[in-house]
Amino acid sequence: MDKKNKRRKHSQLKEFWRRFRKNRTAILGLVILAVIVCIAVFADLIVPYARCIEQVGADRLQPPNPSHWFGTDELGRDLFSRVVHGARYSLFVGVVTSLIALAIGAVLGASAAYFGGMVDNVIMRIIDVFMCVPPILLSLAVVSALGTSLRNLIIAITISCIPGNTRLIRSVVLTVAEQDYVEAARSYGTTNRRIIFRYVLPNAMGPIIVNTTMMISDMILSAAGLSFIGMGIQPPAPEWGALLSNAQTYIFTAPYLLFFPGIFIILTSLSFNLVGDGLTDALDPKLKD
Amino acid sequence: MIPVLLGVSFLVFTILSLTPGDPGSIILGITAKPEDIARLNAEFGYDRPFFVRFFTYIGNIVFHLDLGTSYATRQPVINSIMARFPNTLLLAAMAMAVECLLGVSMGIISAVRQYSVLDRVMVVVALVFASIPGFWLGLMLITVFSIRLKLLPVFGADTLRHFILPTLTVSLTSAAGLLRLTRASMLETVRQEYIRTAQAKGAGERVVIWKHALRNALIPVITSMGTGFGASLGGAIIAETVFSMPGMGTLMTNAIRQKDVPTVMGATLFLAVMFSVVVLIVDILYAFIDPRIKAKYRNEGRGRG
Amino acid sequence: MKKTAFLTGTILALCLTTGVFASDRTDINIAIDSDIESLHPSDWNTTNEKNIGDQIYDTLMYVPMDGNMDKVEPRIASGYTQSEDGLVYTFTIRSDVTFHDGTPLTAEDCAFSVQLYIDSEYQGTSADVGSVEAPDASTLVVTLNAPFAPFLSDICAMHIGSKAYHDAASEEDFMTKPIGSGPYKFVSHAIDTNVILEAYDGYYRGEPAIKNVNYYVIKTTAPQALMSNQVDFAEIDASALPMLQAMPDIVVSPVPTSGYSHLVMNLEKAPFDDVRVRQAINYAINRENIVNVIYEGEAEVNSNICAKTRYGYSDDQLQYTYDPDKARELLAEAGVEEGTDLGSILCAEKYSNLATVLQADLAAVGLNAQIDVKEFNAFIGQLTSGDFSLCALEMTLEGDTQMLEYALTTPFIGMANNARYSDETMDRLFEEARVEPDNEKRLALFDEILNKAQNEAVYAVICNPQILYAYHKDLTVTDFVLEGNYYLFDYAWN
Repeated sequence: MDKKNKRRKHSQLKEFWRRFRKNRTAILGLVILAVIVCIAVFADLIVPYARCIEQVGADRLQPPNPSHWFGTDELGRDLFSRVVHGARYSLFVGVVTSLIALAIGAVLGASAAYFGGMVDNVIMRIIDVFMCVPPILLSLAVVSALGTSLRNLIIAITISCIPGNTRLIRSVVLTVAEQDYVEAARSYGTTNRRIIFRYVLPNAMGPIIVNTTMMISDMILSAAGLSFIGMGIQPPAPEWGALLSNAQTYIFTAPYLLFFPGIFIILTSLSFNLVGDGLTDALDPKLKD
Repeated sequence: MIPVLLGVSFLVFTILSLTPGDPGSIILGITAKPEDIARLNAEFGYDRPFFVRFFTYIGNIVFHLDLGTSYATRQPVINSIMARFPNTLLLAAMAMAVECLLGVSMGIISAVRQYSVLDRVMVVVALVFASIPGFWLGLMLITVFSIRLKLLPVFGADTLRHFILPTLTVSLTSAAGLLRLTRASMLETVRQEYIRTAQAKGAGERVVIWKHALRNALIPVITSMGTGFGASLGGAIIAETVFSMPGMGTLMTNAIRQKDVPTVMGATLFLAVMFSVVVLIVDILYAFIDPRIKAKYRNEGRGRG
Repeated sequence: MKKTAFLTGTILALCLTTGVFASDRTDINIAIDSDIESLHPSDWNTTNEKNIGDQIYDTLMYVPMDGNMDKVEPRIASGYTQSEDGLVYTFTIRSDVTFHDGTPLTAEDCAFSVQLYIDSEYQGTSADVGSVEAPDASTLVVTLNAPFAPFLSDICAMHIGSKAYHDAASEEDFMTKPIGSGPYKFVSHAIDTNVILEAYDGYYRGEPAIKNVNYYVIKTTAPQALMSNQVDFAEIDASALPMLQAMPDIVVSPVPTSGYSHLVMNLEKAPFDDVRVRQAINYAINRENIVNVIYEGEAEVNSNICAKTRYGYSDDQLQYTYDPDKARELLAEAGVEEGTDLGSILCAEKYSNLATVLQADLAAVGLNAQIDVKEFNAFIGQLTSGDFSLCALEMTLEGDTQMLEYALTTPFIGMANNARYSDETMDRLFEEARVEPDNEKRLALFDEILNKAQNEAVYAVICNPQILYAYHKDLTVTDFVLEGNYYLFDYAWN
């Protein structure tokens, strides 16, 4: 039984990969993502962290040149090093917030959908309350209350995207829970927990994975937005949004300060979006041709 | 709806109470005498305990329809809201319109020409725009259209001209979602039995698409507009900040920073009500487009979620 | 479909109607970075409110902020006398001054307005005022209980409002629809959008050349608005300087201020209670570099809490220069080891770059510090309650040099004495300066005060940032004096 299961999974994966591979833009997204992940992981090997906080006042606002590939910022710091090390923060914030939001959303959404009735009502009414406040304002208020730091930034962004997640997972689970095999499992007297984790969630995985991938992209943008208005992380840490927030006044004299971090935000966010788009097509069984 | 609004008030009131500082010292600054600060706080009723403040606030709304007086301007909150809301509404509405126009039309074309070069290009372009931070796009638009070309204003909300760049900022970054939704929904519909039937009956492609597929495909698109409007409001907040436009977003971001509790509360509740109204309108529209819904509502008595 | 047609139409229309620019302009568009909340004569709070109020209201006399008594000019009062004991000020009020509603201005209005200031939570004077009286329509008598040397500059900063209007109008109208006797009258205020003023034709000094004044609320993009000719005059941030210098039709004027950018050391916490550590930190700061990278060169290097153009400053008072070796020596003497952690540099978002540079300067002499950027309200709370080790910020204690008591004396701990410095001698010196009528003796007192503050390194003052006014080259402006107050009455278009 177990072996059979494994083999089936294996061939499912193969089939999925075959379809994903056909989508050239998705592969492009995957490649960009791989490069950025490498940059983040090997940042210290590419350029030491010390370089990105080192200030040389005399070298400030230099346009890109052989010793400073992306130029230098207003304090005379090497922008290339800052962008490279910034990859860590942006990726970290994007992935961590999405995963936390996913976990919380999954527990809330799945219980709401599965138990229905009172549980569903209570959870969804609370979610409604959160949905009524625009996410960015919610984040702003939370950061104001907690103070500025990497941890608080993560909390603020996560809170703002839990409601949407919960709703999505609830609706996905609702669809799955109505399927025959769940009915069957229930009639055998399988425990609720087991049904949810064994049958419902795995089968609801497709849309959830796609949504999470796309969510990472949104979270990277939200984090950049909050940092841009000065509510991100503590200096001198080089988060991409924070790099941009000081750059806007140099838009004419040093446009590269706005350009390079901006391009990296866009590329990272885009790579998740492209992969997510590819996943949607590859995971959709109806799209078999 | 009432419990939701109560919940929203409580949520926002609690978060704001957790923010450090008191209105008196925020308004008067650090050279102010402590007794002046205390006097101002007492005037605002800020010296009273949390629950007293909360219930007084709710009481004033319920019994006097009074959203309170701003700490910062010392004028009725409703005045500040009414001075700004039309701008935000117009911006959000224009952004929604442009977004629908772009998203839905590109989505249809994409679906009809599935896997063509055009399809891929449109999807990728839309995704690229979805990946651009709103504030970054706004700054770029200002650079090109206001400073280089001197065509459009940098700030303000006096005429429709002032709304063009903010509208583009909001709609371009959010059209991708609608495109993908329309495309997916169209593709799904096309595979439905009745479309096959129509095709089998020999109806032309054009007729199938416009008459049968589109109408059905738009249903999920319209459903998504309720939340889409909320997203537009969120985007409008960023755009208002970048373009120094008097709107709900700038009002609330300022008020949060000044700990102007009545203004934040008033504005949030106001938006929450508006949001609910939009969702209601979308529901009605939905039933109007899809007669099956009516039947469903009648059967279930009450719709879920 | 209709909507697209409409949009394209608008785009075409606006292409045809850009940039009307004539030399015979009589209007001016000014950017302000935040909306105003009050134009009350005394209950205002921000620089923007003061600047707009300065156009609407007149003052008893004009006293330049640099304390230069040669440049004092009569306004509503044609002159004043001071009793020999320095307690009684008598102003003679002109009889041809009218408010914007046409009613004549009398000494009673002046007495009323001075009283408003004294009672205000927002503004006020440190003087102990005994009485304010108007014995007749052209005489204002203010009596102090104790001499207060800088009282003239205090009383001449007060906007004079109408008593009759105050009594007749609602409190809200008095605050938001001001009636003054200045060269411009208030027309309208649209929340978060603009404030419109127009020339008052009954102004006793004649009508100004500029007739219509529009203040636009532009939070962050004032430089862009200047560059696209949407506004003609704006105060800008130093970081926008390079961008504006690239524009041929925009002039930027730096204006000295008494504001000072500095690093606060919390004297209640070790090791800052040791004067050698404070001196070492003063020597560790590369002020020239900070002026260059943070202020684009538009600030005056000065380690003295008193600005160089301000009353009481002298070059003989100690100046700290950049000397990292001396800093290390002093630290070694004080027993502070290499790599000592000083805790966090508290700062508001606006000063995060300043803190970042200071952090690097401290690191260069072996002192470690983190940066703690706080949202502004939290920042102020932590600062005034003394819950910090180091703090980077700019402060402005405008007015007479006596104002420095806010930063240096015991009663102001928890308010603006951020270093929490408490010294009996210092308190006494300020008390003496407050009541000293003799100019020479008062200067000597301030010299003693400032020498003491410098020698004890109470603060690590870095520089005096300048206000930067950027405006269209065709606009004729008057010279800006300390603090950058401006009067549009004197402006014109070429």
